[in-house]
Amino acid sequence: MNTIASTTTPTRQAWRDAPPRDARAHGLARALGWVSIGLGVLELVRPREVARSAGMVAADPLVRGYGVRELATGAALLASARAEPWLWARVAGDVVDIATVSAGLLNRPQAVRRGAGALLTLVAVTAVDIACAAALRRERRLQQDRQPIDFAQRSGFPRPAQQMRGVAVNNGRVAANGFDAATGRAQQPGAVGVAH
Amino acid sequence: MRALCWHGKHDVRCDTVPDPTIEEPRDAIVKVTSCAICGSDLHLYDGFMPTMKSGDILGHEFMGEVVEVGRDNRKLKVGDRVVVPFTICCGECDQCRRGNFSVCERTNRNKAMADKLLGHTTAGLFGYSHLTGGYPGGQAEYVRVPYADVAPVKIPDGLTDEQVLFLGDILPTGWQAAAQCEIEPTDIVVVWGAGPVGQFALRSALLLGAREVVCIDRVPERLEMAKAGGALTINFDKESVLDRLGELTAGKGPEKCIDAVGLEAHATRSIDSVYDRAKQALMLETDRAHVLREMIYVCRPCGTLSIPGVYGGLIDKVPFGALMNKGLTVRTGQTHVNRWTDDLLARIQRGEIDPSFVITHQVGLDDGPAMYQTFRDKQDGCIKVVMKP
Repeated sequence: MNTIASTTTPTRQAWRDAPPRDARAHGLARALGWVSIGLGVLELVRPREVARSAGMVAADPLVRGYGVRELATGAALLASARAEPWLWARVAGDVVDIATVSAGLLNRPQAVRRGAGALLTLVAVTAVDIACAAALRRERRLQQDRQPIDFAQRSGFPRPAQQMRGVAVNNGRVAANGFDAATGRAQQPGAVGVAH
Repeated sequence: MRALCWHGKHDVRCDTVPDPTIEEPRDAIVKVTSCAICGSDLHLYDGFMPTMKSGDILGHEFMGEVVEVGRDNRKLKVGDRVVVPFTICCGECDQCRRGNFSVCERTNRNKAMADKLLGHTTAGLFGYSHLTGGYPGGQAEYVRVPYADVAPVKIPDGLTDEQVLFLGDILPTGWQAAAQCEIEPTDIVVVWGAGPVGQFALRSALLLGAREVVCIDRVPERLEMAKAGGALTINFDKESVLDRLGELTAGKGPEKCIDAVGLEAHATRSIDSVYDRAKQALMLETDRAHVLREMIYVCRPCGTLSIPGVYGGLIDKVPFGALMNKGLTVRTGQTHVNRWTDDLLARIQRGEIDPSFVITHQVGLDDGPAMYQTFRDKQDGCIKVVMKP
């Protein structure tokens, strides 16, 4: 029986240095995706109330436009295999929101309390978005920087792979169980035996 | 006994459960010495397969020693060392007599449910939902093997568990995927996915004489392992699959395409993959079919698509017009394991292939739940996890 020295199995210790997946950041990214979708729906359906809660009197089409933006980033966050770019898109959206609420505050000093509350919330959400995006960027960079684990010797073959081409065709096609080893077709119906 | 049990999406636990007993005269009880986590177990872990129940014992890749046999079992005796194929077959129905073991007509205990959902039942499977019979799986200390006088493969002395364990699923699955391509010496065979089944499919294609084998993935160490097995590799995160395949085939496309990915495709740079993820998130689609679409698009007219990758339900936007007009042949199905096991066991004994190359992690059963996550996330260079109960 041949043994293949190149296929020794490494122990778990060999993998301990590999960067772990940041499960919390991935979970938070998904949650932020749903937040985006919820806010997007609200802005589309109740634009006036959303504007009022931020101390503004904004035009409905503007708020609805922001709603579409939220829906798009939310869907992308939930659908994409890579959340990081969409989190940065959320951060950009946060900046636009902060600018809009700030401008509204300047125009309506009488609504300063509600506006300040909205601004504080927006700043906090922005901080969460940035922290989440940064965590995913850190994970990505660790993944990129690590050396790929060396599997170059793991062919599973006793000889160089190119010398194994066609070996199964050349050394007989009919298996002991009555099936053609290359096609899997029975040599005759019912050729497979049941041992009793 | 201890066993890995499914309790919901991303919730696998190592529980203490009752020992199995002989229920039918053809049964056997196997003391598991090695078992593995299969890529298709991840579909259960990720919650894509319906009809799972909390407490179900997982696992369909296992082997061990026979510790008890039913009174009508003339094939096995106590002390035999066996690999148990993941498909349970009776050996007597029309399908089994034709070698179509994965669609055995008698072993699915929930035949009525499968008949209703699929049109016709398929075989019972170990640890793979109640749609396939609800049989307790092999990621456990002991397993009851029904119809144990048919499928279990007796292992001769001198072979390690690591060399033969994969005879029960992924080795014949990769082999069948290549064999049903009916490879000609002039063929270029492309394998999507460099996971365990992809690794065996590409090596099988080489052994069966393909002119060139190409493997597509994005995980560096998996591509490295594919390269070691004789494949050219394409990292779909770094280069265009369509451009590279165009170059390699002088624009004509590969003759044979193998989908070793299945329902959880992870493409990142295509509109259809974003579409699939959005529909899946909104529960409007069950499977992500990016690989199928890409195979249909790139395959040479009158070529063959072989699909060992598992699909569970409904897919959307499949370019069936291209499939039909290009005259493509589609070969798919769960693996008819026992068609191939005698031949593959002989190849392992002759040293033509040592399947243990694919193992990256060996742990005890208690570490199983953590390894599900590691394997799912492709962390720690994880390609194949073997557990020793």
